[in-house]
Amino acid sequence: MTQAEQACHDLLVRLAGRLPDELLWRLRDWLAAGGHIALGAMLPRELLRHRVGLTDEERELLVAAVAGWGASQRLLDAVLPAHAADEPDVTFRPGADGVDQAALSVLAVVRGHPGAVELRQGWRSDGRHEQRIVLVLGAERPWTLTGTLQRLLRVHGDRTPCVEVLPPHGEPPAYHQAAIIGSAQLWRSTAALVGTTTSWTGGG
Amino acid sequence: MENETAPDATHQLLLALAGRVDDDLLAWARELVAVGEHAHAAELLTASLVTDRAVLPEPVRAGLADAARAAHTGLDAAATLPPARPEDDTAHRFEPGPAVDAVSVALLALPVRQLQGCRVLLTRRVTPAGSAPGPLPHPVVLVEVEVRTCPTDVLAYQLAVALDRAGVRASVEVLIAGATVPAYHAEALRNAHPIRSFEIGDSFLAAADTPVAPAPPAVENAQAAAIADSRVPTRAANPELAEPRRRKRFQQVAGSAQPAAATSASNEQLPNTRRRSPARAQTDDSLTTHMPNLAELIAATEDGTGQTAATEVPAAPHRATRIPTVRSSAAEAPVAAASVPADSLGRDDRPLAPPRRPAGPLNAHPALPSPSPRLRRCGLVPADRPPLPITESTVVQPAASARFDAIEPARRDQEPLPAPEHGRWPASAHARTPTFTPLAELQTDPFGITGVAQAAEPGVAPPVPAEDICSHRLPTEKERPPARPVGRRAARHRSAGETEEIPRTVDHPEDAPPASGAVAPDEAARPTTEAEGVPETAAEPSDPSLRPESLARMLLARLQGELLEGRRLRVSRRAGIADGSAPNRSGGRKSVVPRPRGNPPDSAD
Repeated sequence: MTQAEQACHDLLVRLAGRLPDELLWRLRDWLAAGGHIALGAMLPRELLRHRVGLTDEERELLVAAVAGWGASQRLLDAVLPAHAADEPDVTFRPGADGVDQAALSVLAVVRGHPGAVELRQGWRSDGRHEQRIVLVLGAERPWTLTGTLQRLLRVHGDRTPCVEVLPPHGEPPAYHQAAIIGSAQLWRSTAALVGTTTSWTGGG
Repeated sequence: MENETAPDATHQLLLALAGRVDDDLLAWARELVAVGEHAHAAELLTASLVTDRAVLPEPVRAGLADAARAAHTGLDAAATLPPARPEDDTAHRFEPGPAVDAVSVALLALPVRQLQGCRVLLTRRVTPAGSAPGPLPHPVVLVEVEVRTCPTDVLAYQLAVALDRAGVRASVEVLIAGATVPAYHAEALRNAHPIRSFEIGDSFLAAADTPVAPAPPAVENAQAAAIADSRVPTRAANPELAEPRRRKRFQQVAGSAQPAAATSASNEQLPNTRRRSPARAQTDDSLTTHMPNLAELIAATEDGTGQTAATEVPAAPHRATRIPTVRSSAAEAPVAAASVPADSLGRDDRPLAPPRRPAGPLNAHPALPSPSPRLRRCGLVPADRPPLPITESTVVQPAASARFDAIEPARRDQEPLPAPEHGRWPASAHARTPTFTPLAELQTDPFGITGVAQAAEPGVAPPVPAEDICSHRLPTEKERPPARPVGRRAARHRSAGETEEIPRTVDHPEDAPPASGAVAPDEAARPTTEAEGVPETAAEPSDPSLRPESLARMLLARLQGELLEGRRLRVSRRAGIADGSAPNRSGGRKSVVPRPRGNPPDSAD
């Protein structure tokens, strides 16, 4: 089951900027809350409704995620193929230097989550309005951390929270690469540095 | 939507789910229902409630399962939801909140037409709703409407959008006056304060004095009836629940203002006056009666402006007090106000709208021109039309638009609808492009019945050799003076160093330089003589050497020369027409006709 959740989380991360925010945060929230049946029914339909094409790798993630959650095989087969992921026309910027209450609350949660390495925050603009983007690098059970941070941000007034929990290594998608570049670092764990120091000391 | 549920059933279901899902999801579902996407709304609601494992009363649970089944969501709500549990009350708590806040100001700024026959109340919920709630307290707008006055879901959607555009985050719940309401809404009504009230408001208050309530609306199906039966007693059935407290609060707030019941009685005495009075008088009266503090606020705001709408209609004499209307756009744009009836817009009495929520730094471009210049450029707005009632800060008159108006007024007068810009609307622009192509001309007369007359139409090129089509422009009209082009072309040929006698080839002696004595009179006059036989439309090409007959002769001579295997004939003289030299002999850009060679091309090697 964890593999399916991990595949669904990876797919939902890749769908950032390709599905509407008001829908994507709900899908992620359902994943965090264990709404597998809801995801199995809704995720293929929403991909079809918004005409989002999936690459071969993303299709494998979709099948691995929702095929066991009661998703209709007919709907899975109907999802549009794509050679490459669509890149949304958005820009990112770090924002002001100050940290608001919402960012402080997010920081308080992230730094206590196991496996979290770094927390970044940026603002995405599509020409009409700006949206806060929270980036977390490295976390165990990233879908649960995503759901927690989303609900926290909603309490602070963010109606469509965008929380991207990425693996600590590997090449992120283009959307997240741009988000990382256009964001500011709020926190970075010293555990990795300590581990490096420890290993270095032990090696010496 | 093939399996959509009944509107009343959907509305009742959404009312029953208020407070059980987050407010954003409920507003989204109402929007989907308002636009006819019941299935999508049922999908979202069912998925959210199934994920949250929400415990619902049996009627609501059954209604949700029916809606999900009808929408083919693939979610079996009846099997996945926890067992039902009866409810007698709601866990949500409300408080009236301040009398004047951003939400109330935004509600007062709404158009009168949109809330005709409605009674608007405002409360604040202090308990979270759904698994991912928003900030608290959460404003909840309660709108009571008459039965069948308007589609409730559409009204709720429109009001929610209007508040959102005003930068206010609030939920909108539209209730039918006299109908059974859920416990959530009953509790909200107990703690709400009125904001606006129109015709139905007076009758509503009058009905509160009597225990007799309006008949509940007819329930169209069992689903809606089941949901409605699970609700707490109505305010009409137990008027002491809400009405006395509310009326008492009204009177406390109103202070020295005339009581609403007396106002209602006055209205009954003058029904026609009430009906015919403009909406502005209704707004003023309702504000004065129910919200004197808001009236004072607005009046104080208006004192700052020092202006009052000039088109104010006297109100009915039975009204005790009236407040001046906040300056409207009509005072700033009298021309537009005179041209457009105020009643048709229904917003001439709108108070000063609150400032919109800033949309971000990238959206803040007050200096950018509005889309109106493009419309003017396309001709949507005539040049002599009075300007639109736009405030001074938004009026931008680009110079390009003014130049366009000065250049092409006649064209736009001839076109009832403007031609869109090419590239902006490619499909429509292509459809509106006049068919001036020769193909269209051939299609109109494919067999040449009208023959010469059609071929002689202006703008249609005569048959030209393929080489000329690629290298020369179409012949111009006769009215245009061709002397300058002839002179320039002669100069171009002269620059090739071939001859100094090219001015002799001009067709128009008035633009030609004085003829030198070296020019033979017969040669100078020959081009003019040849031009007389050419049809008018094809006449007067700038360069005589480019005439079709000349080129045909040249081509014929070339072929003849090739047949004679290199013998130099009179071809050069014929091709040179006037000076005996080939027009493209220099091998310049217009080397359409190759220089006659001594050997034919097929035997050159």
